[in-house]
Amino acid sequence: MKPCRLLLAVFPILLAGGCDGGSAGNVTVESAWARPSPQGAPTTAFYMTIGNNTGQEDALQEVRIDNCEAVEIHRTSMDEGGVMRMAPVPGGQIVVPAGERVTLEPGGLHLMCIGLAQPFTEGQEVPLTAVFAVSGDISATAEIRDSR
Amino acid sequence: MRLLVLIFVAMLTACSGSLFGPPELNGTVYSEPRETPEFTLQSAAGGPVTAEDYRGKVVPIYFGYTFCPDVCPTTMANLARVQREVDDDGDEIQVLMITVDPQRDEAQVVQDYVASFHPTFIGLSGTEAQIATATEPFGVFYQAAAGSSATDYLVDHTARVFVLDKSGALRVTYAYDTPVEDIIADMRVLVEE
Repeated sequence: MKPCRLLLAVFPILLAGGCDGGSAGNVTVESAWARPSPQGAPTTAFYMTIGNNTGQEDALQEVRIDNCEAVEIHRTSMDEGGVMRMAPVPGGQIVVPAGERVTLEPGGLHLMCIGLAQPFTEGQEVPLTAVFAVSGDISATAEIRDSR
Repeated sequence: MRLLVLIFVAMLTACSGSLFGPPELNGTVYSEPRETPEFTLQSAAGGPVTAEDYRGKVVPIYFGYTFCPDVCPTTMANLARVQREVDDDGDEIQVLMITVDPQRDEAQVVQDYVASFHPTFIGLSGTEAQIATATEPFGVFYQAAAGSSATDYLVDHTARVFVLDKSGALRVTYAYDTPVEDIIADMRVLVEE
């Protein structure tokens, strides 16, 4: 009987542990940042890392930042001749598969903030809301700093 | 013995190019010397500007636009680091940004933009025709691309940095993803020439 009792005691703990590391996780928005605005610049880019710790695919569909008239999800691509092209991502969203991380960084995926009401300044902390297809609204804070 | 001496001299001659010649640069060096690119542009200070005006300095040139949120500020921030670390006073290096979006960027707009990265930077604009002429010697491509209602239009463009040496010759170019440390090392070489 004793081994059985032990198993019964340990089983709920194992179950809880398993859930924490897998399907019961959440989507995270980490290390969000943008550069201080150059004088007169009407746009800027925000970067961040999205972690999907859930058991199902999710997608970043929209980002709201008070100081930006509009925020579009863009990808910069570079051809072999060194020509840079920037365009909204296909479908207007960034898909983050279950258990994976996607990093938005200079020269790649980024959030284009258009129509700055005020310039962003070094050291400023900017609240933002990232809207996901499954997880809904996730609040985060972006740091304004020179670069990584 | 005479043969040995001849071989030794031949080896010394062969080695001297790498031992005593100019240090190699990290960027893509033009295989044939290119003459000073001919362009006439407008600066915020007023009056026409040509490449000849900067002869005697090392001149990194970037073609970009102020509406560009990602690659342009990243490149200008990198060039600001190069300027700060190699020649913060601007005595030896003169960074230029030439707009590929003259419709949005008058000279004063580009100047205000670049000065935010480093006070010695110069921003240049011009007429559509002047910009087109300026891009030719560098082989720079640029083309407006339809945007959204918020962006109106974006500009696809070559995202390389081009460098004129002190003689005004187009000497070396860097891809967007070149490590800043490589550019810094090259600029230290070029300012000593």
